[in-house]
Amino acid sequence: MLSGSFFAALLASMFRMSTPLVFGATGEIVAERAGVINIGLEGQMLLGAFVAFCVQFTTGSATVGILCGALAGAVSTLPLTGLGVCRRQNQSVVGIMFNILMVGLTSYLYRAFFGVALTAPSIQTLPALPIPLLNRIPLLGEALFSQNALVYLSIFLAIGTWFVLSKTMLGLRIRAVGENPRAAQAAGISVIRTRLGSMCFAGLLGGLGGSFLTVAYVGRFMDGITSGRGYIALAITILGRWNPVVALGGALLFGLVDAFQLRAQAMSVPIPYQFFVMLPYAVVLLSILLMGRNSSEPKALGDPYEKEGR
Amino acid sequence: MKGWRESLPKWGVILLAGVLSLAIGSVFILVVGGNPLAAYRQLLLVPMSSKSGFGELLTNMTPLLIAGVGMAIARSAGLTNLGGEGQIYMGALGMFLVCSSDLADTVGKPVLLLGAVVAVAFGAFWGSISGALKAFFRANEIITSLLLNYIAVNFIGYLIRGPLQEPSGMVPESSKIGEGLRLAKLIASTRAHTGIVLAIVLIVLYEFFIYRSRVGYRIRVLGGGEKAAVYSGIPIKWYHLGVMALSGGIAGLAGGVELLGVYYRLTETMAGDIGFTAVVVALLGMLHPVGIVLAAMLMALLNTGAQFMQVISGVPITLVDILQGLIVLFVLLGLSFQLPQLKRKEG
Repeated sequence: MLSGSFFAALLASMFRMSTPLVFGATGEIVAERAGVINIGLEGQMLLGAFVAFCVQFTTGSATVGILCGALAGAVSTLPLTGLGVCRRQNQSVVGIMFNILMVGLTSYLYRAFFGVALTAPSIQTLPALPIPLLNRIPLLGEALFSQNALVYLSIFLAIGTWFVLSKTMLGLRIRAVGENPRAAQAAGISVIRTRLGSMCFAGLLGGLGGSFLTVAYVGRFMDGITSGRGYIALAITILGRWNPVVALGGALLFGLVDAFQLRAQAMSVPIPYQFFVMLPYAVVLLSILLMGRNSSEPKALGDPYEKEGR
Repeated sequence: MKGWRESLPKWGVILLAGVLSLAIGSVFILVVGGNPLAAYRQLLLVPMSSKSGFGELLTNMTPLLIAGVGMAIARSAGLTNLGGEGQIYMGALGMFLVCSSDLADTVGKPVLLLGAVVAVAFGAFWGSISGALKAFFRANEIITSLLLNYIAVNFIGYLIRGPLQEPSGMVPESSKIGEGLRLAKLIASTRAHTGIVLAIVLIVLYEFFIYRSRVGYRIRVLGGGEKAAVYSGIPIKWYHLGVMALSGGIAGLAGGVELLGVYYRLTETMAGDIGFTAVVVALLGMLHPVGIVLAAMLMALLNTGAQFMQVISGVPITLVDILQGLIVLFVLLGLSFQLPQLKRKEG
């Protein structure tokens, strides 16, 4: 059972299962570093998954589907930012209502477009794109370098985002807005515009993460296909201490748990499968318990920012 | 002089939000080739015009009202409990265990009191996990309570395929509780049951607890901002823990009542969307007792009418989720114009 090929397959599955979480957490980190808590991530992922599926189903192009899914996620943050930042409403409440709205919207439109078919409409999933030479490395070649393009993109974006956040002027501006918006404004940075942009980025990546589920993983759309992954990505954001690279590690850990539980379900162990399904959620909660309190939280996270003085 | 913004009352904002949501909803109805006017007549008027429709309305309203009170208590403290679904399942499980025990056979109906206590305790336990994580690990209760739903649902899924499955072992559900233990029907030949009476009692208790008790006052101070609460000497950690436990406990009670009044057994789908809709009820009701009753009524009306709408006009039932999301978002938008002075930090 613990042969090399089993191990490689498990790791390959780990990368796949963690990809939507990597996208989601990376985007969320940018939004939260700018001081906006984007509880609507689950909704953006769901919308991205739905739009990408519909577009690929009609056009036949996965690329166009993924682009549209990402775009839909980005655009869908506009009302969130409008209410939570510009109109200074409670960002968590706005996000929750947005998620309920997206559950309804995607499920409704799916029925409107596809009806209730006996066999669910499906699309071709994204093909693997082995990277020449690198894919010959034992174990890692099969596990990491023989994945589809979105897996690579997620890792690239996580590292790229870390670089931008910590090493560039743009990153400094984003962090300033999330730590001390008043000082940032005084230094000539537009708080509202920075938060708007960061939220769009979060939505874009949320949409990509959702697209991965339909276009690269399942090949179908189902109601609530994200099954809490948006919220898990929110938890990973905290566990990753608002650092995209640490969060990438966290996402991989949950990917591993998920990959393991999927395999364990298939094996004939005397443990009911429901306990395996619970496992990733339980591990997230446990890790919050273990890694709990931390001080890296952006100081102005969730604060309504008022331009005019107190 | 007061401008139009200040003079527009809250109910005016809600009414306007409702009209706007229905207007957008009509676009969705047109997409599936339906007639918005006909569909809305089925959604909003048909349930009210027949005995069976009204009975369904009351049936749907009961758990929303009970759980809505739980969610409103959390919101009053500035917390958001997204774990209603899991807490409802846990409460239903607690009630089921009591009702299917040997004690129930010997004691009869009075055992329901014990059942209610256990249902509340199970729900409170589930809610207090998020409360403790919030209090002692500063974990966001929205995330933890939501993730706990998945654990609860799968736990129930295991129980009704394993130790608690009905004797034939054919269907993933438990056997039914004894007929003597079920709640009496309120309206003959409908599903409406006397649980609504409990819900009304609960909303009165809510008014006294939140708006007229010392603890309730402190909960509301906490909801106004953590800093103010610290300065007033409120032990916020224990309040976070206690409020989430209480909120979960009341949601658990809703689960117990659903078991006694509607399903009589444990199933994997009994909580449905009640947990989330109850959050909508609390928000739309503005945490006000009368508001919560009206909001629960409206949500129950939508859920009931949607069945008619789907059957008659072919408009998918999930239009209701769209309307729910839109109306609260529009209310928030409206209130943001109405109230120029906002509290600095909530939750």
